[in-house]
Parts: sequence; structure tokens; C-alpha cells
Amino acid sequence: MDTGWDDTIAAVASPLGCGARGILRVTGPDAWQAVIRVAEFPIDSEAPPLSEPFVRPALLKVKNIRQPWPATILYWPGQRSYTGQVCAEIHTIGSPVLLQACLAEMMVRQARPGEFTLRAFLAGRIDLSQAEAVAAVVAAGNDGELAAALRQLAGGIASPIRRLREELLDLLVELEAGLDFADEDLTFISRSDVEQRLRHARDQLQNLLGGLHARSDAREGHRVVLLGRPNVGKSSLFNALLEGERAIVADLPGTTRDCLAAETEWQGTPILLIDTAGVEDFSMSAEPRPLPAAFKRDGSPDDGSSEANPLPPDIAARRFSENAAQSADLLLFCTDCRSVVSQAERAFVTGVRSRCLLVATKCDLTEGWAFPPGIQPDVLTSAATGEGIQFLRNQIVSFLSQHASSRPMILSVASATRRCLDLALSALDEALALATDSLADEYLSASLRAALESLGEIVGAVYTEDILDRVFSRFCIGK
Amino acid sequence: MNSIYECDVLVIGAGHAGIEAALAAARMGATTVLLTTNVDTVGKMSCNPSIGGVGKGNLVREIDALGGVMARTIDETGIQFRLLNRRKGPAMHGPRAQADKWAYHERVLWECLNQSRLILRQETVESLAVEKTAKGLRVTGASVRGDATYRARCVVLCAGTFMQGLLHFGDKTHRGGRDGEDAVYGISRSLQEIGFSLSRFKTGTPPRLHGGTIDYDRIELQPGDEDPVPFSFLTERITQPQLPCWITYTNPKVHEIIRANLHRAPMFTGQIQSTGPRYCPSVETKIVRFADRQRHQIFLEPEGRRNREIYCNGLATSLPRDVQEAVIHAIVGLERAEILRFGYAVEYDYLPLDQLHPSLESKLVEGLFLAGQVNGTTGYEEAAGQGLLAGANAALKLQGRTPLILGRDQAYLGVMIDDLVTRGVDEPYRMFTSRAEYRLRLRHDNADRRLTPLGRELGLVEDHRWEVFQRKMVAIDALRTSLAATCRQGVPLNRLLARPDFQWQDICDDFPQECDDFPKKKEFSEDVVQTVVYDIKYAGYLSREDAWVERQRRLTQKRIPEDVDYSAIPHLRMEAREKLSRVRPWNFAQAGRVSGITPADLAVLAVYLEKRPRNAAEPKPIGDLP
Repeated sequence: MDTGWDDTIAAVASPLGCGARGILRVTGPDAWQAVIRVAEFPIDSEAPPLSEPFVRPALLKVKNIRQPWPATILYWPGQRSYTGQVCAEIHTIGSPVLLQACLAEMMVRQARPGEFTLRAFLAGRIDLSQAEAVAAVVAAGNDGELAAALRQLAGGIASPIRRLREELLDLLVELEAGLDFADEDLTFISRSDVEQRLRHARDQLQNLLGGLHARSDAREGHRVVLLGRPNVGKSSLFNALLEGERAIVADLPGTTRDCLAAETEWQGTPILLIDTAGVEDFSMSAEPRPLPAAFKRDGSPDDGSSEANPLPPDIAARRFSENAAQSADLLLFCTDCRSVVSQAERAFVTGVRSRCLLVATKCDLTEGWAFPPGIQPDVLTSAATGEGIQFLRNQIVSFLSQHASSRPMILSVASATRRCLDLALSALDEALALATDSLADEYLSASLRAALESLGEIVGAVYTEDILDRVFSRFCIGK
Repeated sequence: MNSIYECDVLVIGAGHAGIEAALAAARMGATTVLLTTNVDTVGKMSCNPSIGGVGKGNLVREIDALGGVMARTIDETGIQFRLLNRRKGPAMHGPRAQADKWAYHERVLWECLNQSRLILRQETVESLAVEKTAKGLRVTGASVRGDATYRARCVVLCAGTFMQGLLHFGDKTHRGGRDGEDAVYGISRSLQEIGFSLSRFKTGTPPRLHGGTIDYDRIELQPGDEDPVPFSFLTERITQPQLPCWITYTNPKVHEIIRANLHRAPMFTGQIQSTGPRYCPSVETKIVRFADRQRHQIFLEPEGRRNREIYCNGLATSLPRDVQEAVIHAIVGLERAEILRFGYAVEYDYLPLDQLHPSLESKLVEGLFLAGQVNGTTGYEEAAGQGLLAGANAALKLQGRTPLILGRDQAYLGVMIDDLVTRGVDEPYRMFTSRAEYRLRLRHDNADRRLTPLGRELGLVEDHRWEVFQRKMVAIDALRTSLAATCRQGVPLNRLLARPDFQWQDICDDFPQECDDFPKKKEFSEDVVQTVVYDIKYAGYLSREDAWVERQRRLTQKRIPEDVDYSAIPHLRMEAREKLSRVRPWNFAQAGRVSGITPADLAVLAVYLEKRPRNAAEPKPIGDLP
């Protein structure tokens, strides 16, 4: 990341759209000042001490919105927060309009995706694998991925690695004691026992690695989703954007009409372009729901529950659109430049403004523009004449390169973890070969240390004191 | 009338650290004075009269490679030599020898008396003298008992266990640095007045027996090696006859006696509060901690050639006299043994190590160096190694040169100093090979190749050693060339030797001396052959280690400015701020080894330093004199 990490940032932390509850999170040195720009506490209450975490009721007051509305403020001082900096959350009703209005009035920088996590990692609050998991939650592309990320956050990968590290340390201790205390009257571990324990550790590691590969391979290009009411010309735009390219266009059956996804690459940026069914009603739910089987990315068949109980087609289509919208890196909100933008559409667009391009379609059909003042389209296009199409592609690439900054971090963190596990695995393979060949213990120990070193990069280092502590607690050393 | 003496380097204490410190400083051209409370105890072996062992043996060879005297002295005065871990690979071999402790003392005394620019003198130091400078405090010398002052530009303090030493014999205690010798008090007082913090450690020693009262027929004989391996690269062969040691064991009856008397053991009554070394526990500690063991080994080791004193290795204790006697007499072979000296424990002051730079110069007082047990270590070898480095660094400082700081990939000495100043100690520190993450390259046979050129450059290595070393290098090159150029069935010998199942002996069998294919075989000495063969056998592992070494080296080059205010670094965890402020690491590699410091802490520190103005982030060269 290019900018610093000691300014104050804020973001809507609740899922996008209109949920029952909305959360604004803010962290950094001025977090509290940002909160009290929008929040007022009951007059009779004392000023809260900022050295301790607390939860307080408050009223939110924002310019242009006449009525104050209730909220709960959660506060953590720097030493006790997730990011290691002062951190606060405003829990309130889940209206994107209100949340965005608050965010604007707090006058702090909007957080980039994954930025809270990065700060937590830098503050030593979470280790590499947890950071990876949080980042993956931020960017989770589908429900399976989200679940895996959440499992990992709950120690899914860190705790098996820790257990594995413990086992390897115990084994190393047996070898080290034999190396350093040759003159003592001690009996050490047998060769077959060494081999068996190594094999066990190696299998565990391989399982972990398999899980990690499966998960990270599930991610591909940036997800760019076309969204809008029916018949605004999304499909024409979709085809126009892909025109002249050897893109793979896949049929995604299962809704009232075919939905399309295509992988392509513009200016070196991998993109998964997704066309969705038109949605009439934009008061979309913020709650993520399971996707119909057909829209699981890997195309694997579902467990059958949805087939036994098929959804009405229009609902299924809407769900797909919602889910696609939620997992999108960028939304292309399409609107026919001849039609009026509804209140609900405006609210929706405002709620996702930070990752949405407003695209006016069918510009060849009119001179005018029907958006009310205050909402300006980002791009004017015509699929028929090709007007604005290249400009839109450029806009998409430039948006992704500016905004999708969580991705390099996720990828780098994920690949760092994978690289560590790969190294550990090859070191264990080497150790196993040595154990069966019954070569000298110092080679075996060197391989084990290499494995521990790699695992240590994920869950913390091993120091010789750790080894010696174990030796002395297990063996009667000392003449 | 106050007598005043002047010198460049003043070394306080003539134990194993002080001797190497004084000799190193003098070799490098500094006028050096070595003070001891008693010239009769120079280089005395207070505990086990043995040198070396696994890990420790490597230290001795490194000291030798840098021109120290410990290895040559033990080679000449050893009475039994054994190479430990023979069945393991060469990196694990640990040379060990029993010394004739009187001969050892005489030999090092002779070295001290024959070193030019070195003056040995019997004095008891009462206080250290310091002066204020613009930068802080600076040492100016020491005052001794009887109204005399030694002025020096650098002082190396090697006081061993003598600072406020307290001896425990059962429930009786009395002051002393070693049985029969008084402790010193003035130095501790001085250090505390200056602002150093002091802590206490404990160590113990077993009873010594009259060798003529042991029933040798009933115990195991432990002979020395038939082909003793010398410690010094200058020693071609150990020629003196060797003496045997013996092995006997404790038994349930012994354990019963000890258990019945634990209420009289200072280790358990609370009389001794300070921590002792876990790897060298008292016999009472062993019996309590490993209650299910039926017996413990005891090595009976002669302390000298012309003397009948026997050291009971494995029986360190501070139990009262009557219990020690009962224990000894319950052991097979010792039923009628007479105790010559009783075992005891000693508590002493040491300086917790966050007060030291990696050069062994104290952070608080410029020019004051610390070495040996005052730094919380244990063992003659550890002390001698620190002494050598402290003495050399004192001399380097006077010359205005960069201090000698060895890397962890370079020497066990480097591992030890880095452990001490970076991770600190919570028990007396002893070297183990497991402390060295790059131990496959830190073999005892290549210590000269690792260190002698460096020692030569600094002025530690004298001409004779340098010539021997260069001759050996030529031979190593020649042998390598021969091995690469000579084939057996089309495969070069060096490639064959890389196989685990192919040994040097196979070459000897294949190429009898009259064979023309490998004519120079006979010309290579055993140590040259050995070191070349080990190189070949370890080559695969070393190349993998190279990547780690390189990464650490890069981090080592990433210096941390001395004036960083860790408390002012935003987002650095409280624990990290405290620990880094205390240790004040010199570079990122060292910072990463501070206990409790996470990779995330380093990332925060790195970003912070990156954002500092360039000129402020540029560290000053280390060790420069004002």
C-alpha cells in the first residue's frame, strides 16, 4: 500500500445494501473526534473516559437530515483495539443513505478494502494466517469461500499449524538432546518412532496445504457485475464490452433467462464480467443468502436441497443479482438514459457508490438525460454505435487498479502462507528420507529446523530456549 | 601516598576470561595491566578441571583460531582426551579433555609472564573510576586496596564469581568467591553507584575425594581416546600419556539419604534464592525433579597428574557435611572414600545483559568492557571466548577501529554474544550446539578457516600461526584439486566422497601408496584430509543454509539508528516498545531475535524508519571514538 497507516479511516462495516443494522467503523488517532462530529450523547451522561472501552447510546445528527436518529457507540482505546489504534463503531439502522451521510460528515478518509486488517496485522494483533483470513472475508467471492475464511479466522489454519509445530518441536527435542548431551546416561527416541511421527506430521501438513490450495484457487479475475432494471440494455452492453475478444462466454442456466459470465483481460487486468437478470425492486436485502447451485463458481452440483424445493424463477433471478452485487469488485449500474431514475435506485447507488460506475445506455436514442440533478452518470454508452465502450473499459481498469487494493494484499498474504507451508513440506519430506536411511541425526535435525522455521513465519518463531526448555523438562541432564 | 600507574587497557581478574582479554589486548599492541587478587590462582579451575565438550569444544577451537591460549594450554597439560559424539557427524564432534589443574595454572601464568606489553600484578580492586563526558560516562581506571590507582583508557571487568560471592555449606554461609578465597565487594558497590543493575546467580560444585581411598576394582574404567584429538591448530599431536577416569552410580539408598535431608538443603529451604544452571543441577535437584530415576551417573576424574585429588562429576551439592559423607559412603566404590574438600554452592553478582553492546562494551560507561561470569555465563570456555573478544574490542577502540562482532553464521562465539546481548539470560548461560542455527557450518575442524584470517587482520594472530594456517590452506587446495581430478571408474573422487556410504578409507584402499593415480595422498596431514572430506559431505546442506544466512545477512545490514525513540513509534505494541528500548538492537536481524518481537513489530519499525527523514535514519558508524 502506498499511503501511510497512521491517519484516521472509516468505512461501512456492515454488508452492503439495506440491512436491519448498519455499522460504521472508524480507526486512527482522530477516531473519537470523527465519532463526535456525528454523535451526541444524552445531556445528563458524563463524558466517557477514553482510556477504557465502553458502549454508549447516542443520537446521530447529520446536516441535511432533519431528525436525529438513535445509535449505539462502541469504543476501544488504542491498546485494546483490533487495529492497535483508537477504534470506534457506530451501530445504527442499516440505511445506506444514512450511513453514507454519516461517513461523509465524519470527515475522515474512507478505508480501502482490507485496510483495517492491514492495521491489525501491523499492530501485531493478528498473525499472517489470520490476516489472510480477514482479508479473504473482505473479499470472499462466494459462500463457500466466506465460510472457509471465517473458519480460518477462528484459528482454522493457525491452530492446526500450532499443533503441528508443537509435535515437531517435541520430536526435535528428542534429537537435540541426543546431540548435545551425548555423554549423559539417557535413552532417546527410536528410529521407527521418529519415522512414524514424521510421517504423521507430514500428512497433516499436506492436508492443510490441500485446503489452502483449493481455497485460493477459487479466486480468479476481478468481478465486474452489470446491474440494472430489466431491458436497460445490460446484455447489449455486455456483448459490446466483449466485442472483438476471444472471451469465453459461459451459459449459466437456472434462472428465468440465461445469465452470462465471461473471463477477459483488459490492459493486463483479469476480469470476470457478469451479466445479471434485471431487477425491478432495488430495496435489496443486505443479508447474504445461499446461491442456487448453478451459480457456485466451481459449478459443483448442490446438495439437492434447492432442487427439491425450487425457488420461483423471479426470486431466484433476484437472489443471483443480489449475490453477484455483493461479491462484486465493481458494479456497473446500467440505466436507460431515456428513463427516470427511481428513489430506490438512487438509494441503492448511493449505498454502493464507492464501488459502482453509473453507466447510461442507449445514448444513440436520445439527446437528453433523465437523471435528476445531483446524480451524474460516469459513462455514456451506446452498444449500437460503440460510443463510450472503450472509455468504459478504461474506466473499469482504472477503477480496479485504484480501488481493489485488498487484492494484492490478499494474494500476497495467501501466497506467503502457501509458500511457507510448501517449504515446510519439502523440509519434512527431506527429514523423512533421512529417517528411513538412518543417517546422522544432525541432518535430520537441520531438516526439522527448516520445517519449523517455515511454520514459524506463520505462527511465530522457535527459539533455542524453547528447545532447551523442553530438553531440560524431559531429560535429567547434568553430571 | 597514592601511587598511580598508567596503561591502555586494565583487566580486572585473571581467570579464564581475564587471561584471554589481557593477552589479546597486549597482542594487539595495547599496554595492558592484568590485576588478580592472588597470582597463585591465575587460570585456576574452580570447578571441573576439564575443557571442551559438545559445543564448548568448538568454542575452544575458535578461541585458538583467533590466537587465544586456552587450546594450546590444555593440549600441553591435559591428562585425558576424548572426542565426544564420535558416532555423529563431524559438526557434532566435541573435543573434551581433563586438565592437570596445577599444570594448567602454571602454563597460563607462564604465558602471561612472557607476553610483551602485559604486566601481571596482585592487587584487590576496590572501586572503578569514571568521569563525566559530554556523551555520558567514561571509565578512567580503578582504585585498589592500599591507596593506589591504575589509570586506563579501557577497563575489562572479569571478576568471575567473586563479586559479593557467598558460599553455602549446608545451612552455614560465609563470604567468598571460591572455597578458601575471599569475595570482593567494592566493585559491586561501584557498579551500582554508577547506575548498573546487578542480579544474583548460583552455581555449585561437588565434593573432592582422596584418590587413594577409592576402591577402583569395583567401578567402571573410562579410558581416554587412543588417538587423542588436539584442541589447537598449532598442536600436531598429543604425546603425553593419558590417565583414566572412572564411572560409578548413585543408587536408591543414596536417593533416600538425600530425600531424608532435603529440609537441610539450601536449594530447598529458601536459603538460596537465585537461579542455578539447569544443565548442571545439584544432585539433590536431580533426585527431586526426576524422582523415578533409579540411578545417576558419577564420573570420577583426576584433577592432576602428580596429585591424588578426585573430582566427583555429577555430585554437585550444598548439603551439610554429614549428609555429603553419608551419600559418598553409600556409593559403590566410595564406601571408604575420604572427602578432601566438601561440595558447596556459591551465589554471586552478575550484570543482566541488556546493559551490554555486542562489542561487550557497557552501554552506560564508555570504555568499560565486561566478560565472563559477570555477564551471567558459566564455563571456562564461554568466559575465555568473551574475554578474548572484550580484550580485542578494547584494543580496537583505542585504535579507533570498528569492533569485532562475529555473526551467528560465523562462529559459536558470535552465537554466544548475540544470545547474551539480544535475548538475555535467566539462568547461567552455557553453550550448546542446539543454540547455533547454522551449526553444520560451525564445525570444530574449520574454526581456523572461519576465523584466523580475521584474527590476522586485527593483529590477534601472530606470524607462526599465520604461516601454519597458510600452509594448511595450500594443502587443502591441493587436495581438493587432486580429488576433483582423480577418477575411479570415470567418477571424480570428490563426487564419490559426497555419497554417505563412501569414505576416505575407501580411497586409501583403492589407491595404495605406490599407485601413480593419486601420488600425493601421503603428503596430506590427517586434519587436512578430514576437513576437506567433511566439506564435501556437508556441501549439500550448506548450500541450503546459504539462503537463510543470506536473508539474515540482509537483515543484519539493515541498521537501526542508535537514537530511535521506540516509545514514540506509533502502533508499536507496548511490549515491543519496552523490549526494543531495553535491548536497543543494532540491526533488524538482531531485533527479530529479541524475545517476544513479532514479524509485525518489525514491519511497523521498518515503515517508521522508512518514513523518517533520510539523514536521521542514517546510522553513525558503530564503535567510533569521539
